[in-house]
Amino acid sequence: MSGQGIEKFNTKVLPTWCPGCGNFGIWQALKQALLDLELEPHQVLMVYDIGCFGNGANFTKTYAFHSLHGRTLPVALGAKIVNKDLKVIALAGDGAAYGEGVQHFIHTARYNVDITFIVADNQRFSLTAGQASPMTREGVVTKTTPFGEIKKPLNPLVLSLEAGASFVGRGFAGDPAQLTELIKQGIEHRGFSHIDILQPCVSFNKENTYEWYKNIIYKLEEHKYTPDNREEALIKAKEFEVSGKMPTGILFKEERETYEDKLPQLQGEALVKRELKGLGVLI
Amino acid sequence: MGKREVAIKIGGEAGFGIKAAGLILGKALFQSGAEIFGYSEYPSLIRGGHNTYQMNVANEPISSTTKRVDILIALDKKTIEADMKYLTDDGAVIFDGALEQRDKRLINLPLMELSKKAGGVIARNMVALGAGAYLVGLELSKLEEQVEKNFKNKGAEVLTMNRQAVELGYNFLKDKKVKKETDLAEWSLKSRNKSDIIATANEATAEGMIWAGCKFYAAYPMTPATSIMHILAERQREEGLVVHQTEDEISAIGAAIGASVAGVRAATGTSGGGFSLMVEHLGLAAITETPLVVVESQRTGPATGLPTWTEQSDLKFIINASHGEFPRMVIAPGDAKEAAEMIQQAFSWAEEWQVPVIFILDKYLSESDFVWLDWESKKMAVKRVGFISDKELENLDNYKRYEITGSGVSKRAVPGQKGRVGVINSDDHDEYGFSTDESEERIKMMDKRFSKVKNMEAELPEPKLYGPESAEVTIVGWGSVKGPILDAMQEIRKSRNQVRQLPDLDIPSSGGRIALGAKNSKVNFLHLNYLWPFPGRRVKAVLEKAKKVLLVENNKTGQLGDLIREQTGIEIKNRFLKYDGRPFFREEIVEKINSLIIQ
Repeated sequence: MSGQGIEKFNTKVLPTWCPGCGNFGIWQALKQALLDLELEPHQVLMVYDIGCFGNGANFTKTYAFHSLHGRTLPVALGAKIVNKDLKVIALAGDGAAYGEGVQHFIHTARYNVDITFIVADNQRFSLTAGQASPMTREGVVTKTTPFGEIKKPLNPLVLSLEAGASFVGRGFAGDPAQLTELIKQGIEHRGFSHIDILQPCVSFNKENTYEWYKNIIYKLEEHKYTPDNREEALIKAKEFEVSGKMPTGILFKEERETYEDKLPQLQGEALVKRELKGLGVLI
Repeated sequence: MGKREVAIKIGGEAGFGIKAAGLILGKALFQSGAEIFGYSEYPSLIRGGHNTYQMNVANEPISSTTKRVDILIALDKKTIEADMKYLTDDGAVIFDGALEQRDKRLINLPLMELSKKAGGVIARNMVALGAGAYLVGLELSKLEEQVEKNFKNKGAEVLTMNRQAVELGYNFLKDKKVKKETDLAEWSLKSRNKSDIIATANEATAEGMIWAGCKFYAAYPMTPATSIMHILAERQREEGLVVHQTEDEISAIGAAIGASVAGVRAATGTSGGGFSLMVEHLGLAAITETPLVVVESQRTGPATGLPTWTEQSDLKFIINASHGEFPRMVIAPGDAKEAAEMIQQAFSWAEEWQVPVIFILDKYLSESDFVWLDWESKKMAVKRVGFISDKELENLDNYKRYEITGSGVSKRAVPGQKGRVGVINSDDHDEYGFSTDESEERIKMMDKRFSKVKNMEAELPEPKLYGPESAEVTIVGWGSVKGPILDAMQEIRKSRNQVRQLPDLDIPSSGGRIALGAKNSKVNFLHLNYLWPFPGRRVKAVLEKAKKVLLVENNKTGQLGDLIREQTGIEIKNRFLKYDGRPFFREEIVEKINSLIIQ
């Protein structure tokens, strides 16, 4: 019934992103990752934020929940706990993940629930037409910072590493091949996976272009880096502030019991399956 | 013949075990066949301050507290200062030391000395309890049974100390042949069935949630809702549900929505402050048509307000919470038994109509101890509805999550279910769930959601009219004012009977209350449990016939009164409103009703 290629994850709705938007590369990598992992659309629940990236809810064929701004992770957590067989992926922009909903980000990392959090990080609020986000660098002029941003940006990788995420990675929208691999590993990882994706915004971010990123990033996997040490990972996460270089790839990964693992009442069959058996659902 | 109702009030600092002790006595009295109602007051702190627990004990069902106190057990001086004024003329006060008040019956009980003898001053509350039991004529063995039950898991030493403490207190008064306030032995009480229990509305709500098959409860601690989470957390393993304590209330309601979308019955619970944080998600549940139950146990607001006190001030907020327009249900039980019954209805209706249901309690209900007879009788069968089966999905060309149907309800596919996928969308959407801002689609989807309302209305039980069809005064109230009002009506009826020697009338009394007529009664009471969709037709019909209407609400502005005017055009001029953080005391309502009858 469905095709063999990534188009099986397309709906009839075409993307509404600007031509050249970093989201296309992320979208491509995401669908490729699902295909490579041999997942069918019905096996995946994607919980989308509000924003440019969140509009992907309409273009990507899986079970989709289009949530409120900043509020993907609580919904994703609730769904995952009651149906541990689902692959649950939360998708948000940097404004949502690191601003409006930053408390959920820190705490869900701490809980180590088995969900994958993919953040399209373009350093702007773009669906509202270009305001400064928690990732906007000092001095940058936007509509809300006409005299230049005066606040420091957050370092989200440091946040998730410190909070206890068991998988932390950074990808680049301009490198779908590496990103596909990163997302695959994030989905396959048992525990909270945080993937921050450097995403050029062609309409509202004239500083951090594809070229700009290409000049500062390098791939960890090409530098004999082993992502098994949280302290080392923190050093890598802070590298840009220190030397102006930005590593991509997996910064940290550890095998650790998930939140669900620690709840005896969740062992055995998924909770929802026990509940809906009699109704001819999920058999 | 001694008194047929006695109010025992225990007061002392936080940390003295005021409520714990009071409840032990309450259970012992209840097991002996007496009717009880327990009410506690305390400030928001862990040590110090002035805490009280009042246990009204009667030989007829009661579900309200009184201002008057017959036995005051003062564990500290502050209790004397604060509560002596409530003592009845023939009441007694138990205190360790001499007091200046000469007009009251003072029973000097050496609490410190006796508790030390029992094993430690920590047991002084239990010494006092023994004395209290003596004063109402409770058999010592009945009290000891409860002490045993309460402390059996705390080790032999603790149990022995507490048993000795109650014995010493009891025997101290007995040996001195102190006059009792009443004698339970003369009340001709029947023994209790195992199925008769004492519970708060929070305990009943938690039990009802388990009965309803709630499998996911996410919450953040907030008085007075928190004990629901405590109970469910304790029982989650045996009952196979998950209790998730979140980083905030926003996350709590979000997680409950996620669990519900994934296919289990889910709920969250909080008080007004937490609910304020949740309201955006209420709209999310509504537009995505996700079944959701939210418990809101009100306390005195706004903001932090009086955090450990009661109020009914969130009604209009709850009915209007969240931006935009959408159908919802609002249910407010009036006691523990109603809470257990109605929380199950909340789950079943949330699922049937795919709407958010807000279940309103308040501190008075959440933390008062009610008699709950035949507690399992309200248990309902769980019937999960609204899902599309795998088989139906197979035979469909197109699955539409938001298909337009006559009832407004469309079948849910559960994430993970094979066949068709779909968008569950907070953007307004077409029948498939895809975002759209087309005018026609928007109207279609709004009308679809609102088309549920007429069916919801048809299914909701009508407000109950207690007392006769026609009366001189018709009281209107919602939720927790039920107990004080029914008890006040009963008290008025009894005092009239005494005067006129009328035979017993059939105003139903609490516990097994049912709406029956009583020809000679002067008062009836329209009680609203199901507040939204608003039962306008029934309220209008009753109030149009009423001679004199009295609105009784635990808030400043008369929110139900406003709602009645908005929905029926009827304005209620007599408004008895209370907003000092205290519930209605029975006497206050008696006095108010009498003032209207005499007028």
